[in-house]
Amino acid sequence: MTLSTRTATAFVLAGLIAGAAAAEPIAASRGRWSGPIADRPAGGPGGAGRIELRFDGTADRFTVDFAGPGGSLVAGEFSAGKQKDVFGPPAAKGLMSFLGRGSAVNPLEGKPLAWARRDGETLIVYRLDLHGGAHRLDRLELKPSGERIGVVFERREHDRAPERFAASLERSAR
Amino acid sequence: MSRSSTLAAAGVLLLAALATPLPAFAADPTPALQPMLGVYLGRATVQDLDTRATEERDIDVEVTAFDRDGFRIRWVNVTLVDGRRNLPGVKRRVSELTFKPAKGRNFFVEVPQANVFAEREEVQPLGGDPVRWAVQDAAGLHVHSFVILGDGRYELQTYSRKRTDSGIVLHYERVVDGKLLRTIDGQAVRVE
Repeated sequence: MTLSTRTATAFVLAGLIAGAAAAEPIAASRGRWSGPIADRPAGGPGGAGRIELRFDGTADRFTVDFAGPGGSLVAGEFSAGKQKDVFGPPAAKGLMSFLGRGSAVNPLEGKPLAWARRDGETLIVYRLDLHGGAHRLDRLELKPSGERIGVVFERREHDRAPERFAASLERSAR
Repeated sequence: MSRSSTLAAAGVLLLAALATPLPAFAADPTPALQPMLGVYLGRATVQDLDTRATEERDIDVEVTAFDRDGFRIRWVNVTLVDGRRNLPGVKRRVSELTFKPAKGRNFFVEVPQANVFAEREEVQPLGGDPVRWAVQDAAGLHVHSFVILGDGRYELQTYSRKRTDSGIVLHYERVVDGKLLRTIDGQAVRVE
């Protein structure tokens, strides 16, 4: 092997190592996580106590279930779509697909719209729900790092100031 | 079934129908909208929260009834130069949206602009189609416009027009992916 070939190989290996070190958020978020809310204004979403995250699936299709002591905050199933790093509801199958009902979800028709996007090492999950026109728009940011995952949750509702909290969750046993 | 029993059954059905409460909007939504209908003229201050830049604009808002139970809102913004509208650089923008009551729900949904050449298609929020709705409450009228951007972030614009004794107070917010980027606050009086 010549010096230039060795140098090129070293660069390729260094690149691979650097790539491996950067956590791919979908793979790195898989599992069950829990912990206390670190930073929450009084009366905010989630209630007092521990929060829990369950994440399962692959880079093409995954499920997220994020819950506080008061119940589910954000949950949904997502699959890769046409746009890179943007995930939407899984495409319809069977009769619904035959009838031309794709994966389009219109929140104005009463069904919450959930989607997600990947931004480097962070995965962000969204949910828009309309109850009688009073919207609730949730944004959940997940940033895994080894055996911990950082979460930031924000809720925007009609005619109310936005509420948000942050937490660092630990991987918990299955 | 005899004639008398048929009449009795019809009577029971009629009474049941009369006794069933109808949703407020299904009954006759126009009276609920009535106080908001009109033409309003005023001024507003636009604030860009990133750059802290502000600008003044004249606002002209017209709310009219649409198709018995819906409404149309048309607004003209004139961005002023040094507080004046007769100087070079002045900008004028006209926007219009039409809403009708959502079936069985107490809010309004946008009526798409008619286009005889286009096929009516399902709204695809993930494909970038805007989702627009309006809510009327005791304070006034709130119009929301939501869109998922190409990179998956969202943009939510909210226009709240609250009634006052002489007209309306306007508050607008533009939020992109959880960050408040722009506000507009102003007042307008009802044109006699």
